[in-house]
Amino acid sequence: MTIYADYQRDRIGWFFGLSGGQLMFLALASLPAFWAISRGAWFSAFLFALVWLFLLAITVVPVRGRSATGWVFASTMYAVGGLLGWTSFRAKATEGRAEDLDTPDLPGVLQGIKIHDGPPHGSQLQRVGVIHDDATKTWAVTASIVHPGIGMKDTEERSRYGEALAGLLDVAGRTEKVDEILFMVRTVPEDGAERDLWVNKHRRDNAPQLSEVVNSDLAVGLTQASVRTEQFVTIVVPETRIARSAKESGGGFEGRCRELYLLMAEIEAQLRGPMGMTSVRWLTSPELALASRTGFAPGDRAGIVEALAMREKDPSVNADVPWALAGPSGADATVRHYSHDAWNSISSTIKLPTRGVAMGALAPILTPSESGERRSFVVSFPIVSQSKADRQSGNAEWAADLAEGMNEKLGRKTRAKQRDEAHKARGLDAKLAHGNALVRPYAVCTVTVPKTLRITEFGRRLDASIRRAGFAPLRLDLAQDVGFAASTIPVGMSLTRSGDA
Amino acid sequence: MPTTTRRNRGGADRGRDMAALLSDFGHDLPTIPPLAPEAKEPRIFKYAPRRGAARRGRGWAPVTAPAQAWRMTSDQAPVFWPFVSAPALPPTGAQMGVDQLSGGSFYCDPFGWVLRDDVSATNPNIFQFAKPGTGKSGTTKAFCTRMMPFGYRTLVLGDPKDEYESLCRALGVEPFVIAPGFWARINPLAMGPLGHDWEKLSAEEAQRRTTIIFKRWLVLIRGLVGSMKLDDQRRVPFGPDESDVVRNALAILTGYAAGNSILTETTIPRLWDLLRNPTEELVRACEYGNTRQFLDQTRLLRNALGELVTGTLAGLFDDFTNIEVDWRAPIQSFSLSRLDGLGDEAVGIALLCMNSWGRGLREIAEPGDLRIVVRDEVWKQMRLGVSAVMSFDADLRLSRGMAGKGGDIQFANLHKPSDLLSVGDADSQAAMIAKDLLELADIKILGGQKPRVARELDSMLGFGPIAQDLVSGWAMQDKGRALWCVGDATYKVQTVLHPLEKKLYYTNEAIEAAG
Repeated sequence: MTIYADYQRDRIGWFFGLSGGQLMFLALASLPAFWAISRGAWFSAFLFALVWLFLLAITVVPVRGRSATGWVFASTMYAVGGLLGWTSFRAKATEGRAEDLDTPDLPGVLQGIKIHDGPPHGSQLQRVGVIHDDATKTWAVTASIVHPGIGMKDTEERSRYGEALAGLLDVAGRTEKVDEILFMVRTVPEDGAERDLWVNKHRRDNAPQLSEVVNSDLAVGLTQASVRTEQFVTIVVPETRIARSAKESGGGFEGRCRELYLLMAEIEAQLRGPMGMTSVRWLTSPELALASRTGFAPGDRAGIVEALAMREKDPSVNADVPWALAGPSGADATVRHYSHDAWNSISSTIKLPTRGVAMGALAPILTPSESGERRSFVVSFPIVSQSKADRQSGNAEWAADLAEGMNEKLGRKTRAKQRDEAHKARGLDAKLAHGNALVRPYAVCTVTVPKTLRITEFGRRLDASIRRAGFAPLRLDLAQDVGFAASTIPVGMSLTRSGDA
Repeated sequence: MPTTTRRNRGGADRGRDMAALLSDFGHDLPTIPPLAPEAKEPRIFKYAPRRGAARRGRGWAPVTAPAQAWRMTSDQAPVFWPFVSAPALPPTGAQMGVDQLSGGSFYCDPFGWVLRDDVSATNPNIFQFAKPGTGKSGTTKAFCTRMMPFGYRTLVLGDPKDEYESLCRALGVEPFVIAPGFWARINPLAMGPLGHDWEKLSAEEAQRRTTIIFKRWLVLIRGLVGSMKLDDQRRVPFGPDESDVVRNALAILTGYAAGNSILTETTIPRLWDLLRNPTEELVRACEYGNTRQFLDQTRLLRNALGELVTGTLAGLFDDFTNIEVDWRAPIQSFSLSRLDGLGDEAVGIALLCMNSWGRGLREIAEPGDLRIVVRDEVWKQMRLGVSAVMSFDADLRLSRGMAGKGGDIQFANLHKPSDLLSVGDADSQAAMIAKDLLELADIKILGGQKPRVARELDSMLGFGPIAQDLVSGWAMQDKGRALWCVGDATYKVQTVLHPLEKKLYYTNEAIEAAG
């Protein structure tokens, strides 16, 4: 079985992993030490150096995902937001202030989103829901997909699917327009809505008592304990990358949709072909609203499914979820979890082990441990543009060479870990030269349970599942609302997007 | 004086251009309308804060999430492969248990699957392979019971271990008992519903029905005769000559040869009797020179049938059917447990006769009459040789119903794949037919097996090492665990029994009493 281990922590900062602010702060903080040296005050210089080292530690060394100053900053922001009432969310509709039912009313990071109906497309003349994000200046489209899974497939077939995923990312990279692909899997507690509809339609009156008892008891007991899987794929296209070609396609929103449709066709061909998806259905605006609403409140699905079935018989039945009601009625971000409607959620990001993992190792994370809980998982593949990738791999190779050269000069032994890193850096360059795209993926998983259950307990179970799968969890404390939005609402929200493209 | 209405583009000192010149002579060239100034595209994107509005009640995000990102080339992307379990099948049909890979409920609906495009099953037959004691019969009974509220009835064509008796009684039905000394008789040469209203049929329809009936009879006689052994290795041959003799004899016995408007039902003893005392008409129809030659050349066939009539079939399948099957009852079962003393071969022959008779009765099912035909312990029938396998094969092929009507779900239970292969040498015709049989079932339930048998299964079905390990490991650890192969997809299913069912399906009373 292939073990995938050729990856490194992504340094998001531009100077040895430091952000501009951090670098500036440390540079300024080093000035007193240099000043003392220039004055020959060696003791003071030593003290200033100690202070600088302390500042370095609290600025740079990460503690559970943030540096110490990062935590202080985040806690302060959280406290300020909480005191001023900014962090809690109350839907406008709950206060009777919803002006337009088609305008999404979503909390926090999702607030910049608008949904448009794209022009009619394909043989069914379907109007795809186009997600327009003002905050990140991106366009996105989401499809509901079905994959046969690799749980029962042998090694050969798994590696074929693996190559297909790589192929998809390469194709997306080559378009030079798609810069992020997100796969989302939601394992939802079964509500039995479709089953009830089918049973009511097919039941005969003269059934033996025994069968009736068995079936109805199973429908209650077994259905409650089981889950259903929903899978989505979202492609994200930054405005800066399609603005020019959209102008050539007629400009305006329509021009952008034309560009998006071209990209959708390209990605869909890859999904249906080598990736082996048995179904790829681009979501319309009402379908997207349903996915969003059931993301915040999984319990609402049964009623909507029933209404959809009723609409088949009576077209006057309103089964759509208006966008103004597609968010939570009320939500509160707490330090350790996110509370929305009658549900609580905990999100964790996933750290990959150095020794690598096999394909499909995520299985324990995706399967709920207890009835009633919902697990959702998003893996996002931001694709680095070709020129940036070349620069990054060049830098990495240069750094590796430099480190090796210095070790040689100083007569220091190169440790196995350093050798591995250097090897990976050189391999990266070779792979890029062979046409592979450079990606910076991350994954976030979330567990959602009704407020009647103890969320902390389910959070622990989620962490345990992540460890069982061979990964390490990192709770997104203080940012639970952001983690939830990214991993549960399929609108293409990115956690690592820093600027445009 | 120039009449130029057009001005020179280059100014007065540049002379006249073509347009000006023509204009002087009264020909005004069309002009290009000036382009309207291009309207500036309205701004599509407006400013929106990344973390939401910092206003009361707007859910402002205090910080961004510190997601751990990794740098890798696309070929390493499968490290985050999220599609592990197969999507659940649609929630139609019988709710069988839990798909342990995805955590979803598992539903079994063979006809529903055949009708759907998103499930790759094209026939509704089910083959179940499992070691004895791994919950094979529990799964079968649970499926039958749970399909009853949706209009499905069950027909158990031979219950060699009386396993279905308690279920039948719980549903208020008394099972038929087929055994020497019991009153119930079944005639495998019954015509079934195809023989009804013969006098009202058109010539073409009568011809068509005759072909079907005679074909079934021939398959049965071939199976019965072919099950007789000459010695340890060889079985009684049933070639074209024997087939011709039996066809002609049956035509004479039913009156079809004489052109009667109504076919007379006949029995196996009557057939044997005619072969022992051939009429002139039969000898002539079979193109033998004289009766002596006929008797000499059909000796083996005659004696094989004789052995059946006086031996295994005696008192069981040697007379006209005297039972009336209530097709509206939720279940009908034919108990064969009392034949156990006569050996596996006798049970196999009884199953063969039952299946042929059952097929005759189901040949014209009413539209909407949905039935699950359970064929238990099929391996006993398989051991009767290639003809018996062919007979079983024919039963399965007709499972989709005649002329678009009816249609049954054939539910066959076997122990192991070698049950199918034991009919002949490797690569023999029998083994090939047996292998093809697997193709006739798009739904296969693979219960617990020993590693050696699991390897055999893998070699026949090619389901891969993962499934092989599950069959020999996981499935052996608990009752009712099995891999369900539905078309191309495989599901890891644990059948869940209701407490009532557990009590009713319990089949180990005898062992328990001994303990």
